[in-house]
Parts: sequence; structure tokens; C-alpha cells
Amino acid sequence: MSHFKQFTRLIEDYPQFFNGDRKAAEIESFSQSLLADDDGFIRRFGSAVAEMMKPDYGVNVNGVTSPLMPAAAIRRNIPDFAPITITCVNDTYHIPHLSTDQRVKCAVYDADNFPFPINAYHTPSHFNRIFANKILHISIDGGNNDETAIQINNILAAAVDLAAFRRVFVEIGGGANLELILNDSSDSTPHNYFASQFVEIFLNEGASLNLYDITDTSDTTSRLNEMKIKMKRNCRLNIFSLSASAGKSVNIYDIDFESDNSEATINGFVVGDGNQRIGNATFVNHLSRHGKSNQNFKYVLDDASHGTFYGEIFVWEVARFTEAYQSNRNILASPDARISTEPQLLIYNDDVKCSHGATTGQLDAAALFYMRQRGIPEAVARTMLTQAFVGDVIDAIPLLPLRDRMRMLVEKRLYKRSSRPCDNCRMACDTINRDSKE
Amino acid sequence: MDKEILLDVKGLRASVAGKEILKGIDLTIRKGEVHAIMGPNGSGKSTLSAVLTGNPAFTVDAGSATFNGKNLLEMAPENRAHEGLFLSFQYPVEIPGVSMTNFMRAALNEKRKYLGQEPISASDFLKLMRQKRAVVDLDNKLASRSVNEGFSGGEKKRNEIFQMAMLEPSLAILDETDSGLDIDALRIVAEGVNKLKTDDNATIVITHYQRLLDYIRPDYVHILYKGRIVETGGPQLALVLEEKGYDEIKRKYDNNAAE
Ligand SMILES: Nc1ncnc2c1ncn2[C@@H]1O[C@H](COP(=O)(O)OP(=O)(O)OP(=O)(O)O)[C@@H](O)[C@H]1O
Ligand SMILES: [Mg+2]
Repeated sequence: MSHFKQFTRLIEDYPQFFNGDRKAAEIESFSQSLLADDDGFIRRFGSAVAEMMKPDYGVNVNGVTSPLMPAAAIRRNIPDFAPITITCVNDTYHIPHLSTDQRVKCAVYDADNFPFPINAYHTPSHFNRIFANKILHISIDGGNNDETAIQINNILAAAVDLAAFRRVFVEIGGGANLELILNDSSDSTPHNYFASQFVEIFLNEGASLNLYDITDTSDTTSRLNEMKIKMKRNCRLNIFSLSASAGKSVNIYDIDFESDNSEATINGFVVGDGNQRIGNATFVNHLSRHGKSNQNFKYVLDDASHGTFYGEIFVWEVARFTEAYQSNRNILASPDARISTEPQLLIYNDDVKCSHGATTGQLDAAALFYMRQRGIPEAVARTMLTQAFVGDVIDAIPLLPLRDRMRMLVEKRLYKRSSRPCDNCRMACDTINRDSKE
Repeated sequence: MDKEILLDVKGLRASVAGKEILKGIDLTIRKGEVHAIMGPNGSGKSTLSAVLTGNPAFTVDAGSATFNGKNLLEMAPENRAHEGLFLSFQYPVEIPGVSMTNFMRAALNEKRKYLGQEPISASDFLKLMRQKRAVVDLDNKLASRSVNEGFSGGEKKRNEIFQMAMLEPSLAILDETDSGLDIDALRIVAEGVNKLKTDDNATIVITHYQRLLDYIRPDYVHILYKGRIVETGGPQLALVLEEKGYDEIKRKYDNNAAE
């Protein structure tokens, strides 16, 4: 446990911040979760987390607000898509003014006055709870299935090394549909940033959520992100997770099927290069009947990047007629890249259909040579083959402007490595050109 | 007067997985010529095409190859292609998820970039695709699918010649392009190759059968055996082989062809 000195050092550094019974209890439960490691989080991601905690981050203990920088927010707009936009600069949420009759309500609470329980599940949410001063609360009224779209732009921008703690609570009313985009970015300074985020989402009966969790930060940014999603009857959940760029990043997706007949799909895509450490852990808990879950994670790792995937499916005894699938396919594009993949199926009844599979390989050498023989340079050929590899993940994105946006982000990310700048490219992706002209 | 030399190969030796396959190849090809290379299975015909096009699976151990006056063996495969070298693969590769259109556009634009030209416009590109598809009667549906994915054996070979038509190489190596083609397709593909023939380009036709050479008339026929070109002659050499098989060649060269 010694390498977790750094993890707990932040707590020791700011004793004035931890007066009061609530804090004492939270610190205690965090230490418990570190020591017990019931979910294996520390065992699997501990070394990445220890790396994350090495820099000497400052913590905003005095609750200083970070001002909104409109330019930074506008740059992240998606063409043909006009969501309610919330911008979080470091740990300050800037919410738009919404008329009171709207079905959507956004508010920022002090953690001390939050009217709902402040839960924690895995080690990252325990850690987050200790430091998060503010909680963003979003609720969507039920009884109407109009679409609501909300985009949260998480921006890290500071003049020092900084740790930011973000906490979001979302409640989706019965039958309501929400598109929720979380877009993480960092400024281009060489500062070390650490972002801790915990998002807790409740779907009431018949609600549906398309959740886009996009990480497009910098090599000096570390992220520890946990999402807990609870679904009642007849809910539909669709998660698209893109780890396009981050020095060190771990996402946890923990989903409870609390009542019958709900469906969840998680499509995840990771691009790693340099010395990046990128991990995803899923906990899909089937606690009710007729639930369907489908996980599809793809990693493309280059240079000396390391990826980790832990995929847990837990089917309880009551959860009869469950269908749960999981697939993890990886490409190691360089001899120094590494992936560790661990599926975990815990099934406690017989009436289930479950499967999982993991494959790891290189880009097809025969295809690569065929393309080069036709004159396509190696770097471009690699990019095209990689794009082909993740095509199905992107095609699964339901909303067209977002699908285009994701394809563009992935292409931009992949072409970053090849010698071909977008300006000279006439491939069928005008979104790239549109974006670069902005 | 002799035409200009396009490709000049001298003493080329190459190996794969530590095993020597090509044991000293000499071959000179001039503009406007058609060379046929024949020889028993496993003699090294495809290896020669792979080495000339720069397949990284093969190692060059000795010798030289000059193409357009440039050292071919030092060039990256993509640059050999830009210089005008094209291989119609014996086994074309399926590339799921990469559309024929994107593939051809990337190939064409990279070549144009190499030659200092602007990328082709979308409408010119589509026009060119349509025009070149007609050369080998390639189904429009195939052009909209992923590269070679689910193509029949014959469709793959047609697709190779379609790509050749798009890229207009100065030297095309056709490695058993006739295999897998039905009688009509063989004629269509061979006529396609002939349409692309000019006084300034050249073709190497690797085949086992005379019937292809009935359509694509070779100026020279070479017999490759155990990594060496053991005989070179005119078109009549293929006819002799067709009649007598390789027995005589094998008898003659097995004795003095030291391993
Ligand atoms: N990647 C490889 N690894 C090991 N051996 C190889 C490899 N590629 C080719 N060879 C060997 O090299 C020799 C020559 O093969 P090549 O494909 O060049 O023959 P070929 O003349 O084209 O035969 P065919 O008429 O059957 O197409 C064969 O013995 C073959 O097994
Ligand atoms: Mg062969």
C-alpha cells in the first residue's frame, strides 16, 4: 500500500479542509475502500493511479471560482446540434439560465447542503467525495418523451499544477429521453492536471439515455472517472466512451439493472500512444429479469502505451432471462505497447445467455503491404486500417451529428500520427475541414 | 535501335525466413516489351514479384535492381508504386472496413502528391472510376464494397486490373492474373490489359498456361526454376512447355543446379 502515500497525501496536505464529522466519515470510508479493495480496483489500476498522483497538485480548498472562457467553450460546439451547454472550468460549474417552466432543471449545490445522499461505490468515488465542494444537479421531468440534449464541457485550465474534483447527479424522469455529452479537455499548457469525476445517474421507468463520455485532454492530464447508473423498468442506456487523449486515465462504468426489461450497451474506444496509461472497468450488475447488456471495447495502442480492460458481468440469482455479452478487441501497433484484459463473468442462475471474448493482434501485415503497393504510405495505411477496425463502434452512435463528430475526433486523432495534414486530404470527411476552418 | 531500359535486375538473391529462394536473377525489361515468366510451382515467381515491389517479409541478400534509372531496392514500397511499379497479386488481400472508393482515392492522390500534382476533384475521381471500371467490365456494386471483401476469385482478379487501369503503371507485374477466371472473364481481363498497353510501358506476365499468352502476346518467355532463370526464348518457348511440361527442364537443371 506504500505507493498510495501519494493518493492520501492530498488529504494530509490540507488538514484545515477536513474539519467536521462528515469529512471524518468520508475519509474513513475512503481508507476502508483502499484497504479492502473489494472490487479489485487497486489491484488492477493501482499502479496507474500511483503514477497519476505523483505531481504536486494544488487543490482548490478555498472554493475559488474559475471564470468561464467563452472561446474555449465555443470551440467544442458540434455542428447541427444545439444542446443545453454547461461548462465546468476546473471545478467550477457554469450553468445557463433556464426558464423555470422548462422540463430541465440544473443547479449547483454546496456539498454540505446537497438534499440527496452523497453516495460512493468504488475507490475513485470515495476519493472524489472527500474533495468535491460543489455538486451539479440535473433533473429531467418525466411523462413526455421529447429529447433533451445536455453537453457538459469539462475544461482544465490553470496557471499551476491542479487537481479538480467534479461531481454530477442526474435524474431522468419516467419516459424521458436524454442525450448527455461529457467532453473533457485541457488547455495546451504543460501543467499537470488531475481530474476526479463522479457521475451518478438515475433512470426512472421507461427512461432512455445516450451518454457520450469523451476524453480529449493532454499528455499531462490524469483522469479518474467513475459513473454509476441505476435503471428502473424498461430503460434504454447507450454509452459511447472515447479515450482519444490523456496521459493517464481510468473510467469506471457501473450499471445496475434494478428492475426488469432494461437494456444497456457500452461501446468503448481507446487510442493510446507515447507513454499513456488508459484503463476502463465495467461493472454490469443484472439484479432483475429480462435484462440485456452488450459491451464492446476496442483499443488501439501504439508506442509504449499501456491499456487495461476489466469487464465484469454479475448476474444475480433473481436475474433470470438475462442476456449479457462482452467483447474486447485490441490492436497493438508497436512492440512496446501492452494490453491487459480481464473478463469476469459471475453468473448465479441458469436461465441466462452470456458470452465474452477478447482478442489482441497487430494490424494485418498483408493488408498493409497491399495498400503500400498501391502507393498508400505506411502511416496512412495504418490509419485507414485502424479506422476500419473501429468503424462499427462509431456506426453504433445513434445521433447523426454526434456520430460525425466522433468519427472526426477519431480520424483527427489517428491522422495526427501520419504525415498527412487534413488540409491536403480529400477523403469523405468534410466535418474535419469544417472544424479546422472554425 | 533498342528502346530505353525500364527495369534492370542483376544477380538478385533473396530469402524468406532464412531460406534462400531467389538465387541470382538477371532480367532486363525495356519500354514496350511484354515478358512472360513461367516455371513449376514453388520456383520463386511470386517471390520475385514480392522482392521487386518491396514486400518487407522478404530479405534481399545480393544483387541490384534499377527502375527508371533509380535504385529500386532502396525505395519504400509506396514510392516504388509512385514510380510506376504495379503488382496484380496472385492472392489479392481482403481489407474489411476500407471501401474501394476511399482506397483508390487515397492511392491516386498519394501518387499525384508524389508527382507534385493537386488532389483529384471528387467529380473527376468518380468519372475516372466509371471509365476505368469499363476497361474490365467491373460491376459497379463491387466498387462500392470494402476492398476485395467477399469478392469471388474471378472478381478479385478483375479488380486488380481495374486498379492497374486507375494507376496507369509503367511496369505491371501480373502474377497469375488468369487463375480463377472463367473463359469469358479471361478474354475480358486480357483485352483490358492490352488496352492499357503502350510503347512506353511494359508488362511481366506470370502464368502457367499458354491460353493467356494467346491474348497477351509476349516478346520474351523466361523459365524460372529453383530461383534462377534457366531459359529465355521467344513466344514459341511457351508452346514447347505446354506440349512437353517441365520434365526436360528439371532433368537438365537438377544436375548442375547446385543448391
Ligand atoms: N513467407 C514464406 N515463408 C516461407 N517460405 C516461403 C514464403 N513465401 C514463399 N515461400 C517459399 O518460397 C518458395 C517459392 O515460392 P513462390 O510463391 O515464389 O513460388 P511460385 O513460383 O510463385 O509458385 P506458384 O506457381 O505455386 O505460385 C516456395 O518453396 C515457398 O514455399
Ligand atoms: Mg506464385
